[in-house]
Amino acid sequence: MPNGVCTMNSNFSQLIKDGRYIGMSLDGVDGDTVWQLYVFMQRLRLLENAIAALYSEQQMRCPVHFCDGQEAISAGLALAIRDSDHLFSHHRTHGFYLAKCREFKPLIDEIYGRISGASGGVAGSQDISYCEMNFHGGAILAGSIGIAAGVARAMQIKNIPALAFAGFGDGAVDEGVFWETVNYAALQKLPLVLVCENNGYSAFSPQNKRQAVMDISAKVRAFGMQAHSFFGNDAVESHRVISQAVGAVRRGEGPVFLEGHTFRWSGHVGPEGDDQYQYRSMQELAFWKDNCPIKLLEEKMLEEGLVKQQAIDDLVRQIGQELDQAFAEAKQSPFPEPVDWHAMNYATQTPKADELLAEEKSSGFDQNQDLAIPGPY
Amino acid sequence: MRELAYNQAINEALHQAMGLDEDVMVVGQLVDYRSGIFGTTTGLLEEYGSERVQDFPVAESLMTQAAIGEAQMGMRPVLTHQRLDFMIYSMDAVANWMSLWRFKSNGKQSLPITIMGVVGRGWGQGPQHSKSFHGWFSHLPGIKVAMPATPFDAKGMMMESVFGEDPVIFVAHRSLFSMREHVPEMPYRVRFGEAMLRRPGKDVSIVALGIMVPLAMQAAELLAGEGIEAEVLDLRSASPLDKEAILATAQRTKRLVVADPAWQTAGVAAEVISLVSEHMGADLAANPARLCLPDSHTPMSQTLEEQYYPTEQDLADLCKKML
Repeated sequence: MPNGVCTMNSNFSQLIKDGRYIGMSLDGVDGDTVWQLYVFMQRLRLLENAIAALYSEQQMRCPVHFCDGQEAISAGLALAIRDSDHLFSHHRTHGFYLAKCREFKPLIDEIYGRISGASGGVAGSQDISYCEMNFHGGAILAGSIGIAAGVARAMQIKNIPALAFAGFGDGAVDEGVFWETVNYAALQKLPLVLVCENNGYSAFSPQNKRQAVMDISAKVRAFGMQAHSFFGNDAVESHRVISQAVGAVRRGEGPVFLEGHTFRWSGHVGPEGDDQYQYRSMQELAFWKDNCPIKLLEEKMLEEGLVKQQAIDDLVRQIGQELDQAFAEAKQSPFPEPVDWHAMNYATQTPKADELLAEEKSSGFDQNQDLAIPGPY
Repeated sequence: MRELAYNQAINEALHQAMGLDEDVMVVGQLVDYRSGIFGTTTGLLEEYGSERVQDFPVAESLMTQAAIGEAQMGMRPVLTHQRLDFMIYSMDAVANWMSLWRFKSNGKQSLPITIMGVVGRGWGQGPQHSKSFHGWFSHLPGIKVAMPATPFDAKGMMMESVFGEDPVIFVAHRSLFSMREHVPEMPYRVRFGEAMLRRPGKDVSIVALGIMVPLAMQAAELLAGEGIEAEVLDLRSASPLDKEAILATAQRTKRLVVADPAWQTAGVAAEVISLVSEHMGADLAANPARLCLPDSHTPMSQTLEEQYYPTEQDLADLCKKML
């Protein structure tokens, strides 16, 4: 492993030989599942490549945080999550969005600020919500982890057979509300799955500059929650770990924390790159690019004869066509009409109050009464 | 007619709300002990159980984020803070998530969450047990702010908060908890943004909020003794403001004093005066005035408390200066 790979848990060092990951195994995973993981990662990578390529046209006028290089974790998640589950994502939404919502169009239209976007164009890439699919993004890092805990709590109280998921990075783990959530979820045995894409950096700041103990999973276990970490660029392992862990949560065994170790290729935000600030080494970036999650799986599939190069080429062409059409449609889609600000921010009707509450008039208040004096407590 | 104290009126509202709808839950530190947040949650645990009446870790930030998730799932959480000051831990949840959830979902989802914060005064509550912050909260779109001054309003506004669809911050001043008034037994509502004219008068308008309302009515009595007829308008909610009622009283008397139990700078009193100035500034017979707390944190020592909190005489004097 080159110098500068400070961010990766040493547990994985035996899986690296001559700078390459050698831990991938398809044991116990059928070919169709492997192909689904591969398709998911290609769709996500090609979507982000297309956003990056067209971003300079300045028609996508919102902050965009790319997750290129991190696709294997959301690929594993995509196979484990169900429509009835709820997923909350941090600002780097695209992988989590696709894992839950699958379709390109509501996301692309949202990034273009169009009325047909998942949030009608009011939220953009980092704050996108797709309510109908129980998906919510949000940029202020860790808040949505606590919201997911509330969804899980309500599922528990109402006996709803579904799970709440929260997806975030190692930066969110710095925040207090993350630990409040871990404590509470373990205490109440919530049906909650926490998925951490540990890419080693919070914007520019490396994890070892922010945290005294690097092993987040070990810290979470100290709070009484199950935790599993894995090499996050191995899509098959990601699928294996996430599916098993999610199965246990579905069986009522309490919450789980899952940590995939990975790396973001792009800059923190936008397609332009930020390596001019020299916050990470080029060797480190080269190591992770060399261990691209898509390339690792593709090589394995070809090596084991699961798939022919022709099928891969066909897939890439077909996704490209789908994206071309989606971007063309997004650019043609109408912008939002002027809105009623009040109705956007406040409910316009109160059906429950109308049903349950009477109208009464006060009979008058006598102000000549003593105030309560609190006393010491 | 049956009378209840202010804390009993809140307690009855919570009992009735939980009985009317099993999605109503009450969450907060110590809500399930007999002391019951100064009597406001007493007896709920025995009737509705520990899932719906839930003590919470000392984690106000998560408690509030979790309420957002619970509300998305159809529940109607009521959160309590025995001291409103602790609620400030949850400002990320309130400002970055709750207030904008409806907006961010493009109007598809609303969050019926009620957050009750209790404001202390007297007996040395000092700088960390006495802050109100309704001015901060009122600055946020997507949040309503209740400031009930009487037991009748406390029950009606609690009911409206729980069964309305928007997030509400319900600021309850602990000094009011002993005040008694006739409170109807049925579940009823007091709507937001509907101020109440507590006392008619033609000479000067006192627009008051929360604990300043009884003070304003006492000041009006003092003024009446000197032949001055003060009108008292109780705003009842700091957000939304009843702009029509504010403008109407200012039109009637042409003299405006705003009594707001908070620091003066950039507060609700300033908002009320701005509103009136924008609409009829040139028609006023005197410069408008504010009676607020000093722009200082709250002292502990009793003599300094007496200096810090304005009295009905201070308010009456301020009104007289305008005439």
